[in-house]
Amino acid sequence: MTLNPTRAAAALFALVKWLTILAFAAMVTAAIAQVVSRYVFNSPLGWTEELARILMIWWTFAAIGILAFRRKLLAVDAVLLALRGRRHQAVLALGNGLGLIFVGWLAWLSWRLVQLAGTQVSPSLEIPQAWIYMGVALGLSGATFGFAVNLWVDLRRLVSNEDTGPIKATERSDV
Amino acid sequence: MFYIISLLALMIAAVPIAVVLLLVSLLNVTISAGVDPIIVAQQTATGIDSFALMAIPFFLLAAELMNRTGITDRIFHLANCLLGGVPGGLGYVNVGASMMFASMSGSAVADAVGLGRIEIKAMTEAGYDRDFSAAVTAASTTVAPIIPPSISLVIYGVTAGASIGGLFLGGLVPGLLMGFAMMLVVYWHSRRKGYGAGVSASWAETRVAFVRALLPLFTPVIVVGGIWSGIFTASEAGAFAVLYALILGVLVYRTLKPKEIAEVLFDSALASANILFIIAVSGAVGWLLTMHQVPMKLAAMIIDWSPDPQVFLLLLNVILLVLGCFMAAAPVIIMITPIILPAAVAMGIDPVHLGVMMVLNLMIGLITPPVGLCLFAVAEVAEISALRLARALAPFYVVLVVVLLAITLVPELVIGLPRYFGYVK
Repeated sequence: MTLNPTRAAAALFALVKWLTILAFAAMVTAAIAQVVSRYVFNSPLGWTEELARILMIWWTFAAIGILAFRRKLLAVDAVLLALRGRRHQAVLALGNGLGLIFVGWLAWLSWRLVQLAGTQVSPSLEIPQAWIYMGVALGLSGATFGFAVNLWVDLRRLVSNEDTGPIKATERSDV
Repeated sequence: MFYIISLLALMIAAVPIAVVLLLVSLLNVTISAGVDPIIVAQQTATGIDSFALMAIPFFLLAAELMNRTGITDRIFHLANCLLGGVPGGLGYVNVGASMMFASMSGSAVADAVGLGRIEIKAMTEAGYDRDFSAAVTAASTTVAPIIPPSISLVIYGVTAGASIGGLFLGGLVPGLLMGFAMMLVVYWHSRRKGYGAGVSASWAETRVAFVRALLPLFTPVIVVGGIWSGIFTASEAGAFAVLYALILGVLVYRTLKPKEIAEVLFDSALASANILFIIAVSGAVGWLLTMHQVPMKLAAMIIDWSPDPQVFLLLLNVILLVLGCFMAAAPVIIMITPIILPAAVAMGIDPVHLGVMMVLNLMIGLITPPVGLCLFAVAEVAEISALRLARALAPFYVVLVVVLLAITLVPELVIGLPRYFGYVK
């Protein structure tokens, strides 16, 4: 049995989805704890803001991987909506190809940053800076994988000339 | 020039905006600046390491939670009791309900999919033509990010380093003007079509509707009032709005199920990450722009060409209207603000005025073809084509542009209130 990259990516990002939800929920809880401790109990917790900030970096980059794989990163899709067939596929492949190269490059640079962070720690929770950067590196590595899988799909469709139809604008962004 | 051309060409080719910005910064740092590109990775990681930015996920989450809690029904019912009795009543109700919802949520899309469904159903069932029902629904969504709180104004505030409390105050009068202008279109259309009056609600009915909507109506008092009185920062207010929406949904109305909360958390995380990624990678672009002194050179060039701030703002409006037709608001704000802000400030334009003007402008883009997000969302709900909806929206485009021109040429409409409260000198 051969390994199907799309299925492997779907399984990976299903796991990442739950990690994103947990980290996002933890950030919301930390920020609410900060507000409640300050305004209700009048004794602010010092570490909640830092924890919330670190968690935001973690879930943001985790979610970027999911967005890349689901082809939902914000883009100007007016031209894409007007294209059909091979041209449509070629434009999709261009986006995923460039994503693979440049997000992959950034992921590699982020791993270098993890190594360079050394023994630095965050001010109140004393969380190693390397861990914070690792969230960025892991998320961007996930996104690189997502772009690679999509590119593989796009190129196969390009060769077989399969029409996937237009992508609806409402599926692309929320704000 | 290299930056602008590659940016435009790749963006038109539907390459994700964040990837385009990354490409420009990585190539520029490596080739022209000759610096170790690790700086881009560092700028990306630290670009979103900010408590102020947390207001974006919080306000998105609060809007989604309120939508799922079913408060939209309560707001619509209250607006119906207050405005439904006059000829063309449901048209006014539609605008009024959107304005009330806008004071709790900062997301136009949340308005389109939440209230939109209820409004279009009620209007078509009452005999209003479908095109007009959809048009007034779509047009009124644009008020959500103008009447505080507003996610777009938070993004602008963080990008421009402007006071979010001041921006929220600045959006109030333009938001009311937009509502009034849209109600004028409703009046004109209702007279032309001869729509009759709806059933007038009795005093007792109105009182019941008010009590049912009272708890949601407290949201702006706590959230926006908290920011203006200096108790909360915008992010804390956002966190509080989430807490309040959760209390309403889970404990008071008991309409939110745990599975739904997980879904809402995930959707909000994805929507926020999409914006935060662009903010993160634009940090490196900003660093490059400053290194090459692009904003300063551009400011000097513009002032050299015409030092009149009104000419500058009118020109900016045209550019933003065009960009807004093709792009979502957030990336335009993130990319344009750092480039034009120095020129605007040098001409004596207040950052709060510029921000509210930019956001109002880009909100018009939400309901224009070819890619307006609310246009498509409402067209889908109303089951008509986006093009047919765009045609029905024509009178609304006119009045919204008139309001835009008014706030562009009369800055006091925006900065009057923030000045009174000490946010603007």
